[in-house]
Amino acid sequence: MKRRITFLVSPQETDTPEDALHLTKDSLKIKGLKAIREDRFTLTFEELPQFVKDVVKQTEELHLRFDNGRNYDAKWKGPFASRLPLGVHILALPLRESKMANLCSFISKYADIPCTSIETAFISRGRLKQLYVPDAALLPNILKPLANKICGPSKKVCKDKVSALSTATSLDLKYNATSQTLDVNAIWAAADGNAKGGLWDVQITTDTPDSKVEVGVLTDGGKPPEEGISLRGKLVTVGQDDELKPALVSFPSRHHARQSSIYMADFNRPTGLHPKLEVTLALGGSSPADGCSLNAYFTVPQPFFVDPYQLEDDKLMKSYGINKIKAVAGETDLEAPTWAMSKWGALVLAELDFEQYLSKWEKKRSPMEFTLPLHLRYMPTHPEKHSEPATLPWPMVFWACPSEHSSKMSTNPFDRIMLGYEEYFPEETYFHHLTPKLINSTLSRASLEVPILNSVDSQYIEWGTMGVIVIGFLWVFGRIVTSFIGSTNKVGEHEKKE
Amino acid sequence: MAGFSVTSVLILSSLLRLTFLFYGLYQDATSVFKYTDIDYLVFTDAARYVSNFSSPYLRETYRYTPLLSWLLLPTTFQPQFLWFSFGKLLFAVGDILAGYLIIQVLQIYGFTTTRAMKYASLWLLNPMVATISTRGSSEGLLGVIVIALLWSVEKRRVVLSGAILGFAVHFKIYPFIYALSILLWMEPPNQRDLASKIKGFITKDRLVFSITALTTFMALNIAMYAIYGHPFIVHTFLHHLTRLDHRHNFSPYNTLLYLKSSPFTPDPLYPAIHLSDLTIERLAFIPQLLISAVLLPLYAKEDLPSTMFAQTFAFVTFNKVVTSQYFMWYLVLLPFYLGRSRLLRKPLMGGLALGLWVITQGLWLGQAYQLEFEGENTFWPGLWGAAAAFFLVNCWILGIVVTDIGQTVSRNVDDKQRAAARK
Repeated sequence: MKRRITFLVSPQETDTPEDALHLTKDSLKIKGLKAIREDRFTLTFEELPQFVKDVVKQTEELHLRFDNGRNYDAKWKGPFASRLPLGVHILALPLRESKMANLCSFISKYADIPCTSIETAFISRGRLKQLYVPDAALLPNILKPLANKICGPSKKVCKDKVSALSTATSLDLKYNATSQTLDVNAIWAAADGNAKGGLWDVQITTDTPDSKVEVGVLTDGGKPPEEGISLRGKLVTVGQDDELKPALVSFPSRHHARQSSIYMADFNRPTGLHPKLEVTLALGGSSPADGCSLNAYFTVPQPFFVDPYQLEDDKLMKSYGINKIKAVAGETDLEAPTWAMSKWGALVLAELDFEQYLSKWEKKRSPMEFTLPLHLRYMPTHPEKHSEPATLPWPMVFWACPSEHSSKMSTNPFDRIMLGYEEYFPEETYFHHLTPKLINSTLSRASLEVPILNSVDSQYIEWGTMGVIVIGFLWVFGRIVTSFIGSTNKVGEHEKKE
Repeated sequence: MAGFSVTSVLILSSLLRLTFLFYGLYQDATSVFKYTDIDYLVFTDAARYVSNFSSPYLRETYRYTPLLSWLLLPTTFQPQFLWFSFGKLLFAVGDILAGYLIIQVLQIYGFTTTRAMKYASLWLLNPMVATISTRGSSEGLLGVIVIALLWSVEKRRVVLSGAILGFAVHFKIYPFIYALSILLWMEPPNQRDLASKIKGFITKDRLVFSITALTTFMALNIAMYAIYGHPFIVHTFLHHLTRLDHRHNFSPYNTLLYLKSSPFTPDPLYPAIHLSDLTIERLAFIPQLLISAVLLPLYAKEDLPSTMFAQTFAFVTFNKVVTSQYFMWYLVLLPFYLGRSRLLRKPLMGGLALGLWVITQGLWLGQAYQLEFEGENTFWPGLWGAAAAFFLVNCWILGIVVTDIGQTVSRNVDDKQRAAARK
């Protein structure tokens, strides 16, 4: 197993103490450091526990991602600019014709995500299968039983290490059949350090006498190459190096943070059964470069759904600030209730109408707004509730810019791919991400209440309906009988006379 | 009305529909609130699939005969701004044709042209009818089929009648309720007592009618099945038998269907209370078909169109799903019944019936609006109560209709008595 730990100190953070780093022969002490932290573990197939081997050996490529939907806070995010809608995202490419049954039983066993088969629970995008669960609190619940399973009940050090991941802002697991390695990648926000005030107070030691840990404490390296990122600071391999080495590295980067561009989202009120998510963006009046498009990537879980035919209505979409809908994938049944649905929902990629906004912005410098029209499925009845809460994660909003240089973005040591939306853009595309701005909530999601039928009066509903039908039927039936008796009497009289 | 000719009424109704059509084009072009019905987009999308030689059932929620998408093929022609509205025009023409046929049939029943026009205007100059067709709903087409059926029956064109009925049932299932009525109507003269009626039931006309109807219906189904296979059966027929229909609509069964189709969570305070095994929603077809397809046809001999009106009214009232488009199904037959109705003879009763029908419907719409757009929980008792009230009002009106038609029966008997007395 290879370990790499990176601390990313914001360039604004000037008061990093001189004695923050202290290196000994087999450990590095870090004290009072305010930084974004990334831990990366790389495991070979042989190093994996058997139950994980069983899962990954059925996949050609597997990505399990989690995002806790909280603020990163940092004004400067360096290479860690990309985020995902809060919750769990799984993207899996089966190995040959595999049904990936082990992945399915793995997530239903450890993550409590209902999965009878990949076919019924995941949405398909060609061969790629995708699942999304909008649960921001899932990670700690998964990691505890997983830690037991991975480490065995007695190994506290190992369990602590696994459990520590549960506080991460984002966690990525990536397996690739070609390289036969599993990468585990956890990122903590700058305010999430383990010591007082969110600072990092840690002692990094090697796991075994002959293993090593790469550590980097880096900050902005000044003017980067075009479409790249430059970092400078100190690097050290704990268990090998005697001293911290100064470093200055530059690399092309797929993901960038768009400075001082923020957005927030909420439902229009009242929401009814046809809620609309309204997103407000502070963009300034410019795009990162010519030819860039502004996009929003939505994951739309049950009980929400989009009507793809409505989204095709260009005029309506323009009025909502959307230039065109680039993709709708997943479950878009227009009628079924949630209990008849087996898939989690759908994803939507929208290209926003920046041109139209720009022409207005010249006159009136107001924030840009756009709206995604949604609908609600009926939800199950309940004896104690009159409504069910439903949450929709905020979309990810980003600029997508075509690259002029076909530089190798995969040489980036922090590269992140297969987030769910890149396939809709050319291979060499740069993404400049806007930052979700949380104001009234701690999580980047919008919530509403779905009215449901309260079933405490189910007896009255049943008997009442039956009563009404019977009364109506008997009334009409009675009229029919009466009029027949009337006419047969007359026929009778008539025949008597004859 | 006296100074009007049939032509002028038809021109007036055409102008009405053209105005609505152009207004609709204007609204669609300028507003995000569309005039065009969503179903029209479904039809035209399906037609586009057909124009590419694929199945109309590739369009989600297309639940009609492929013939409809074939009829609308011109909507895929270029230039689109001209041809796209072809279907609306077709439906509107169907409407007007239905109105024209109403006049014709009323005249068969001895109405003067002026009087026939007055009653037909209920359909021809009705803004609701004009709106529904020009928004692109196909119900108007069904209207012309049903009136054409009535016309051909009254003209004693047996083969044609059978063919139209077979086509109508293929097109929209529900006209099968007219089958028994037409068969009973075809009663030969001089069958006065029940025994002779039963003994002489099988006649040539009845056989020919049944065979043509069945043949047309099955031939169309087999042809469509041969072309489009299983999806045709699933979407055109099976869907209507198996649909859940849990979403709110005018039907009194609606809340119950939501309750029964949803997974049930027992109340922790009263864990013993479960949903009963009462499955009235599964038996809903019994009262519906007993009244609309079995009992009411017994009046057909005396007054076929009024009976068909009552049948349709009963079918819609007792249906498990009711939307406002279904009201068109009986509205087209209303002119035939209204002429001999107490609802016109007694304006107070007529006003009350119309008033209650409108008020209870409005009540339901209010509850539905609060649920759908304000997110207020009106499922129970509001929405349920409004649907129940609307249902009961409909039953009350149906009672009046039945009594009225029954009196026609009595009157005819009276006439026979008088005739016998004269002998």
